[in-house]
Amino acid sequence: MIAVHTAGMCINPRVRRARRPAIERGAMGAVAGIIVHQTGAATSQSSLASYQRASSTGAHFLIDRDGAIYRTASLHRQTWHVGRLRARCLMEHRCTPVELKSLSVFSPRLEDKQERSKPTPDRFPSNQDSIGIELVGEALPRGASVPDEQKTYQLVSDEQNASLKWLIGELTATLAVPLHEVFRHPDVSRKNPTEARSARW
Amino acid sequence: MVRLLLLVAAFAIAAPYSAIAKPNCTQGSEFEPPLCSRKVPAIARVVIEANAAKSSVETDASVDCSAFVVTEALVRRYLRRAKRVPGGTAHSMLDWSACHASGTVEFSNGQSAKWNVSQLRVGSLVFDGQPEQTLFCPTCREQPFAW
Repeated sequence: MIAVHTAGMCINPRVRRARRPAIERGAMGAVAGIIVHQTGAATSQSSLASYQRASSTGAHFLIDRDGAIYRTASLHRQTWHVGRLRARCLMEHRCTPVELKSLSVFSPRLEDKQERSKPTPDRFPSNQDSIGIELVGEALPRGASVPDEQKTYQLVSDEQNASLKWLIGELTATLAVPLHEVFRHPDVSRKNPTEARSARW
Repeated sequence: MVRLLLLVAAFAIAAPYSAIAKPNCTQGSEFEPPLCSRKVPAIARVVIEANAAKSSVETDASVDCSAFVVTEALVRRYLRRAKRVPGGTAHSMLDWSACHASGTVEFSNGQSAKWNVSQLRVGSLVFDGQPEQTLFCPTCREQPFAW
């Protein structure tokens, strides 16, 4: 179990302080899940710098290529790290006929709206009830020679995976989140399918 | 001296915020990044090089992009109406799609660029030697786009 300060910041020698209030949004209720991301950026410095901008988005933790863990937001605050939700029943092949009918027209906006009307675990965890962990990792090749939809995220380093496994172990125990409610970002919303594909926990 | 140091410190704290306070950009919301207006020269010519294309990184065989067929007129409308997305916010906030089209565009001022657009209305424009501009068009609500 990891100690959590009254302000929602976890306290542990393995976790470095790098709180970025600009990415903190509304109050977080009960935590239903954890979402694992990759930043799309090459360094932790660039992500930490971007988290200082007023309109920036980020997650609660950032894990550098060397495995260093930064706590970037309070666990008591939401961060906008998930985006619109995909229909969980479709992913898990358990939609009712009514749900299938409503999903027959492809509309990510409506799909997200319908999902948000459901409780977890009928839907995936959202910005309102999930902790986000970002792993520093680029989408390659660099530059504009290849469009974003053709890029592949770099492999998660061994050091990152070791830190991720430790952090998820601590968070799931502390926040009473079942391990099966930990997801890669493209599982829960429409993102490049290679993001966090090589993450292990 | 102390006053000068305080002034420098105050500027250092405020700079990251003021630097991004762009007057022609929206504030953004939970599901939409800040969108910035852009000046678009008249479009002289659009060439479609790839249409109804499926990304090579999409491993889901059930994803079918054959219906995402854009026309030259649609690309012109998209490039005119799309807003610029500031760097860093597109990745986390906008939906990714495996279905896309791409090509080149020539503007009446003599400039040319490579364009790319996905089924979920996210696109890009790349002028030679310049960084990629990420685009999003919330008002492009017409087929074959999805929203």
